[in-house]
Amino acid sequence: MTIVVFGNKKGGVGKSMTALNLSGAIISRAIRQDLDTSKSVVIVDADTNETIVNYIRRREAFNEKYKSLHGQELPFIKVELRRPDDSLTRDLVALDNIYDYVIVDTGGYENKAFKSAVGVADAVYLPFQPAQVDIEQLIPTLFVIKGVEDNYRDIRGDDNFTIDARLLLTLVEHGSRDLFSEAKEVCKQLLDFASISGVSIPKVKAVCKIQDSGLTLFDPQPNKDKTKFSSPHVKRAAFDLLLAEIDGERPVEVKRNTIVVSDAPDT
Amino acid sequence: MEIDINVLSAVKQKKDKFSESELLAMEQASNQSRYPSEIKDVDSYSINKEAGTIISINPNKTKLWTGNPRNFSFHTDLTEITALIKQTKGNVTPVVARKLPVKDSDGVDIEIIAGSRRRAACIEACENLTVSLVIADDKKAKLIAEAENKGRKDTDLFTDCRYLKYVFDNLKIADNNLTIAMFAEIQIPVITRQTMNEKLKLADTPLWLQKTVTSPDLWTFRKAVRLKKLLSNESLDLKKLKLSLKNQLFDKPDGLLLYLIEFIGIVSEAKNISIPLNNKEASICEQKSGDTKIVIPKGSPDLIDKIELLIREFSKAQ
Repeated sequence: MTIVVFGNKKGGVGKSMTALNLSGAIISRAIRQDLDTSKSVVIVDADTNETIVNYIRRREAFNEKYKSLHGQELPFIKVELRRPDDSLTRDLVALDNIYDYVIVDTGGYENKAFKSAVGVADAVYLPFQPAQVDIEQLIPTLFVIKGVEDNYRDIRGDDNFTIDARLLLTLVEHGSRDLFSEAKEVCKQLLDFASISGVSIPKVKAVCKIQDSGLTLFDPQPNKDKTKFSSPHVKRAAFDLLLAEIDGERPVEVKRNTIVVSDAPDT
Repeated sequence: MEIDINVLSAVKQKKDKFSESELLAMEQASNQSRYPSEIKDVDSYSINKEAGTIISINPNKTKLWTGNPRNFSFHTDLTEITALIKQTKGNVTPVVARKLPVKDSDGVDIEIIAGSRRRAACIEACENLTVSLVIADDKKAKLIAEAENKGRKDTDLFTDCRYLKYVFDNLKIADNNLTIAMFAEIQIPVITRQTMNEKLKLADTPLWLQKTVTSPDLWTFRKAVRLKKLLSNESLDLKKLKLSLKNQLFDKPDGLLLYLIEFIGIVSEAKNISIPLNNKEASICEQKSGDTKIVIPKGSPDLIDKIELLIREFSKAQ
């Protein structure tokens, strides 16, 4: 029902981490609502690094250990692997008919998969860190989104077609409020191309500790020797907020400017 | 049998999300969109692949376009390509050229945009040159040249210098107020006035001298300036040098430089100082070329101290 694309030609900005934990949030909510989690979410990994695929492989391996200790399994996260030079347009539409959410993780470089995914996406998130260099790197990605938008408008003669691109601050460190607010101010210069998300993804130390087991922040958090588990991580809340924003239950912080074509003659 | 209207409408909604024509348009839109870095490539590529009219022509009845830096190159390593061209009775890959509206004073109206090496090899092999004739103004020719030059070896230093000199001279004709400093500033990347000045002077290095080095790519700016300095030596007789170099070829520029130093005989006996060092001798001497030569024998103990002492002695002597 909903296609969400994560993309930015700069790598290491937290695309895969956000995509994984967002899928954790979706599954966690489905469990709470007693829904079938097997059709809740699918992640399409279109990155040559196969970050998500490897992550889920580690999750599967760890699941065996978890099952022997607790007698229950970790929720299953479905992954589809694609190549960066694949066209995803039709694949995503097909997956959208099966799953409630289709999350697309693209590589941190210029790739066809991203270009072909943005047109059919309900929301395109551009994760970036609060640094000037990262903000500058957003421009080529926004350029491509605008290109797809303009081309589609020209081909179909549909001036109302827009791609819902959203700038998402990620890996925000605790105590760097100045950088955070500065980055948001700079982002306002890009409002002709994208909205600014009202969510910011914090840098969570625990992610480094749990990634070798393929766990998300929504899974029970392990102790040092991974024999005992406590409740899910408190900072998972940011991903719940992100999910609420995707569902439209929560507004974006600043909406993208709409270009109004006036019929009134120039004065 | 029960029908759930809600499920039906949900299924209908899913099916209607994108129609086939919308999906086709979406695919087309994404195929046509480009990252900023891809845009230049697209232009170059399409021009590079543009099909021209293929003709076969006597290479001597063509001339090289002066807008392509590679066309200023003197090809010294044509043995392999010439053999290949002889074997195939001409060049297999056509060179890109354009037809000029009027013939020049030599009656030539075909201008080679890219493919000077293939042209030179065809001349040497006495074979006809296969040419792809395109319609191109200077702007388009520049793009064709850029596309053709992409991935090929960079031009050597003297070729660069000749090209710069040609461009500078032409710009100077158009605007007499142009200075070397201004010309240096418009280069990408910007170079200093001094470097540009040297480069323009290097363009006048005699061709017969440049052709003695079989690997012109190995010329560095420093070595070329050294060559220029040696050529400006008052005691050098260029006519005699040209005669002595008639059958000489050097693999590297260093070979030519050493030959020139020996030819001029510029090692000076004057201002020479030496000190004994473990039954051997360390020396320092000033050469006529202005360079200072320091000789330290191998395996000297306390090397740094000895060098320091040597330089101090030399400074006192100065």
